[in-house]
Amino acid sequence: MGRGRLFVSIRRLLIANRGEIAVRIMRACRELEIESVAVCSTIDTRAPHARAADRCVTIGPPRPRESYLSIGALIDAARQTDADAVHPGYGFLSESPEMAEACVEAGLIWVGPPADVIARLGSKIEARRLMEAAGVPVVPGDTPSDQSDDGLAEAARRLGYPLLVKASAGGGGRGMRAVRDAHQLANAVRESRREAEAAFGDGTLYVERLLTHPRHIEVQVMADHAGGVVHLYERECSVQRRHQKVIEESPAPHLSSTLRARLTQAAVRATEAAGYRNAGTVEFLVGGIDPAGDGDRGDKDDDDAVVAFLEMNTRLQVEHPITEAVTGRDLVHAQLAVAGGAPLPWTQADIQTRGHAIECRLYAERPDDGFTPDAGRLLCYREPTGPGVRVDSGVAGGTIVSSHYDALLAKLVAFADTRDTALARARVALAQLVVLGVQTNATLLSRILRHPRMMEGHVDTAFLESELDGLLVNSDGDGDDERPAVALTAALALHGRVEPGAQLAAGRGTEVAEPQDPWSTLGAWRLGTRSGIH
Amino acid sequence: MNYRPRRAVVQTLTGDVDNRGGQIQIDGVDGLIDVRRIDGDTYEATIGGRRFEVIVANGPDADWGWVDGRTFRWPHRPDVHTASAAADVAQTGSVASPIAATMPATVSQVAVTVGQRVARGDVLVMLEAMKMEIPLRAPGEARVAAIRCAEGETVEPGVPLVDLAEVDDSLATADE
Repeated sequence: MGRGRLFVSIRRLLIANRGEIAVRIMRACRELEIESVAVCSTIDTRAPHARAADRCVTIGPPRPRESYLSIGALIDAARQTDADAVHPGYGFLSESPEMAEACVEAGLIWVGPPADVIARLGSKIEARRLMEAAGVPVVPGDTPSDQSDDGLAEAARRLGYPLLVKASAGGGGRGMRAVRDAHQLANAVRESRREAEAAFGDGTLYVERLLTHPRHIEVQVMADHAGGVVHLYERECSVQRRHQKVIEESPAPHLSSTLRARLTQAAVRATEAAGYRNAGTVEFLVGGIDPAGDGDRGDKDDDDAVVAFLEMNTRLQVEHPITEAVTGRDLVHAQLAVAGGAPLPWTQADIQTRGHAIECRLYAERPDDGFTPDAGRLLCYREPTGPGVRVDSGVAGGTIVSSHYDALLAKLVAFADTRDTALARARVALAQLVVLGVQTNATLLSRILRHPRMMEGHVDTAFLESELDGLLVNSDGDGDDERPAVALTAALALHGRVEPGAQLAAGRGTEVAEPQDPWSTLGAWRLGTRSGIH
Repeated sequence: MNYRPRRAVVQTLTGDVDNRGGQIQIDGVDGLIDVRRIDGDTYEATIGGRRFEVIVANGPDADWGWVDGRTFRWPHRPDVHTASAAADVAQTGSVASPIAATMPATVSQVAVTVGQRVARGDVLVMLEAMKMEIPLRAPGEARVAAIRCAEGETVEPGVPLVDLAEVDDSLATADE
């Protein structure tokens, strides 16, 4: 940075969170010589986050409502430990205006935007109104005052196809029709109107531009008390499952400089319009880019791209490390400095990106069973290391992964000068990772990284769901190689301290994330008697 | 290579307890496999000159093994599946099996009533855990015989929440 260490007026910070994000914030505290206070529930007293801080307060039972979501318990813990600031992390109370308000009332510095800003941006309708007024593009749409068939056809013609016809009073997909071209419109309008009247007693219709297979691209912003705003470029977050991000990267692949400028400028406008402070993320849907295009920086295509404001997240984001990697800036340091009243530590010109970063989210879940969360004790946990590899985790060997909390165990971030090398580093990091005791999505993550569309950088928000069936079966080309299973059998024989001449019986074993793997019936082994394994 | 291992026969084991090594023969695999303990639960097996790192662990309800970036799991008892419970059941067959959570969870909705007839895939109970909604679905055609949970209740894994009974008038037979 060339400015020496940041001056931060915060003396003792309470981290109102758990898991990897709490550990990451506590590390920043040590770097900035701020004392840290952890909070934990009764099942988390030995969790890494509870041990990473200078002090720890047990605030309640495992149920989040009675611990990590209890504003009263958190404020009490801050008072009791004489903390002067609170960092909410993400999730839990990070986007709660009530929590922000309670901190300020208790004389604590809230590391985040003011309560009224959180409230305004948390309301979809208000946020959309605010963005429209500020000239930030939203998904184009219209509720024409002339609700006749002709009036709606005219509104549709102005908007362009494909589009959605929706019940203005609606929700939950009732009365909604996708329309590809003008010929389909009359039917769609008739059906939507009938459904809307039946379901909501109001047949008013709304037409909205349909973004088919949009990309999810978001922009990191940072603002200070004096109204200074900078952006830290974009993150591509299109690899999602049921609106949960799985892999993110920065910069977004195949994004023209024109489109990048449109996104970052819109994000800065949104931040200014909201009267925002501290770190935030402006999420956009980007449509109209041919996902199977030739991959060059087609500025011509990009000029036609539809950019639409999705929402603004009023907190630090899970995927912030990829921005830190490519910009070389520490976002938590900046959050703490700005919250303490300091101006932004950088000007916009200071923010340059270099190289490429990819984050893989490691979840405790059962890919062979509809991705239900998994819980249990970690019997073995080994993190990858190496050049360009960063792991932010909230678990260690022996940690109990509880069903009470988010299933995110760790984030693997790979950074390199090129995207291809970053992908290779991420793949090797995943292969080094060892998690035994709970099932994870690690195998699925490796396969996504090897998918041709991922390798080419042509993914959209429909990618993962549409390719999932194929990704759940072994496509690595090593399905016939039984040497790993044989190696496992040999190791188990030794592990079980079996005597020469003893026989091991075949058992039913399954590769995690691999319900249809041929090994599930023939390749894996266990000792015939339980007493042999210890 | 055409391995079809069925049994492993331990040939020799050498060395002391802290630094053990040995050779093992496995049915269907030519030759002896060298294996040695590196440290704790970490081993190294050499097959045809290629080394494989192996880590093993024994858990309360499953044993685990990691080999060169791949993770295997042997449940001590067959898994209770929720989302894909239908996998082992004939598509048209009726079932008589308890429906249970696979982890501690809260019942957010009981979607059926006693006596109700359900089809494969119908949601019986909606659970909430780890900020996710987890549906417990009917694995096949059945009649709801009993409901053993209530909305808002915290439930433990493996404890039956809904009993299903076979549908009497079903012409289909369970695939056995």
